[in-house]
Amino acid sequence: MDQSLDINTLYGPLPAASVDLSIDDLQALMGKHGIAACCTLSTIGVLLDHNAGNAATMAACREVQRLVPAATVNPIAYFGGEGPAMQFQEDGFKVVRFYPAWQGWPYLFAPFRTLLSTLAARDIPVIVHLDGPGSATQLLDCVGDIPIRLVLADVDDRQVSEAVALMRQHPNLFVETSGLSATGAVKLLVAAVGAERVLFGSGAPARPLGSALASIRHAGLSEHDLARVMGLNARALLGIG
Amino acid sequence: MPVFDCHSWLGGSIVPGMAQSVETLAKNMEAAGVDRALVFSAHARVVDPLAGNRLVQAVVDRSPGLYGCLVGHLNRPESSVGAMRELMSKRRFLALAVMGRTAEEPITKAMADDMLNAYRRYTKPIMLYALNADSVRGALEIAKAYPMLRVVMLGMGGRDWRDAIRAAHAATNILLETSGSLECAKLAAAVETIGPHRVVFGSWSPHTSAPVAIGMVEDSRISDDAKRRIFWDNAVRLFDLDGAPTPEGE
Repeated sequence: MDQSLDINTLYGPLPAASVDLSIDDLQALMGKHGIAACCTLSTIGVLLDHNAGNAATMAACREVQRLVPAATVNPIAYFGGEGPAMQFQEDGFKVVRFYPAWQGWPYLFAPFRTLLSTLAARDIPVIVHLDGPGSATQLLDCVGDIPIRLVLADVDDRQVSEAVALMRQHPNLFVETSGLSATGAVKLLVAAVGAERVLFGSGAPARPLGSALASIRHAGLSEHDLARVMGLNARALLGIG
Repeated sequence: MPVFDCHSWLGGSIVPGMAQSVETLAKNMEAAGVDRALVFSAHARVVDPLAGNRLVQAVVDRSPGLYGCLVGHLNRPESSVGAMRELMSKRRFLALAVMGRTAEEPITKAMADDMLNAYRRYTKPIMLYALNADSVRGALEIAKAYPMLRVVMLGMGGRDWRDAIRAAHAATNILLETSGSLECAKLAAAVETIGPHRVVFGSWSPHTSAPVAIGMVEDSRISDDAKRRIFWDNAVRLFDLDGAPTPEGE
């Protein structure tokens, strides 16, 4: 059975991307490219209101079994307490995603750090979308000694060395591949940190799923490493079969 | 479907060992399914135009699948014009890329006039980076001032691809090259507005690997005929390579 899982997809309105991000389109793309499952969330949760967005995400994922629900929180609108983490666990969200650049908050941000502590206490992994060189370093400064499983998303070729340096210091750190479009970048990362810490992600449908897949399939990985990157690692992280 | 990659760099990769030699270029092209590539010299862009373009000459002389794009630097006019005089009349150099300090820096007509006046007699296309709206405006100004030259916008406007499509609509000697922002929507919009015959495929490798760039074109909602033109036919016509062997003929 195909275990492929795309850990970075979105659906819903996203004017910046100029594409229709409907659930139907996402499913059509999954079918076209043979992706078994996608971890996804509603863009409404990122752009407008995380509570409304999380409700929409959960509704969509209950309807389509191949979709794995990701929650999101805007730390600017978080005023403390364990409520969000408790709610996410109760609702069955598998991961929480953060978008500092889109929402305009810094990586070193006290409410974010508090949130991370509450999520770590429940062993809920998080994905943080980066914004250029230096952002991952600031993020890890914020994380400090919080024992959280953390995925760096949107790492591009300028940030590979930074990711590698941080991953050698932090064993709970993973990288998602949607930004690794440079020739040889995926292979370099796998060689440096091991295939078990690299997760396939596309950014679809805002970004082409075919491009994201090509960067993995042409990376020159062994069958074993390819299977891990394409889904086994993500399934282990999210705790799904 | 054969693929002509109009935008591939020799050198300049952050990942060690990529695109450093004719062997690595050929290996990457074969793995990606690229049949022909137009090669630019990173050495010419950031160090010395004359020496860098000579490196490209050595590479294209050794590989029938590769052609050269001469790289001229606005801050190195003498070396750039020297390279032009030495190499541009050669059959395997197909175009001139006019470069500023960075790929993002807009190039205006005033900045490029000297180099373009020295170049116009070759009647080959020019390549200009257009990775933002300001660069698109500069390229449009140049295209209108030099209507006899075909102007290829490398990166087709980046995230400002709508501006690039509008510019190509305003000046019929502009062609759009597909690298820049990885968004499928831009190709469908370009084909609808200016037609499939004025879009050429380029990967910008090694910055973006050729398979990734090909994946974007393949995922775009355009016809197979449009894809074929973008991947191959338009480049062959642009560079006047009708007599050159095709991948099918080899």
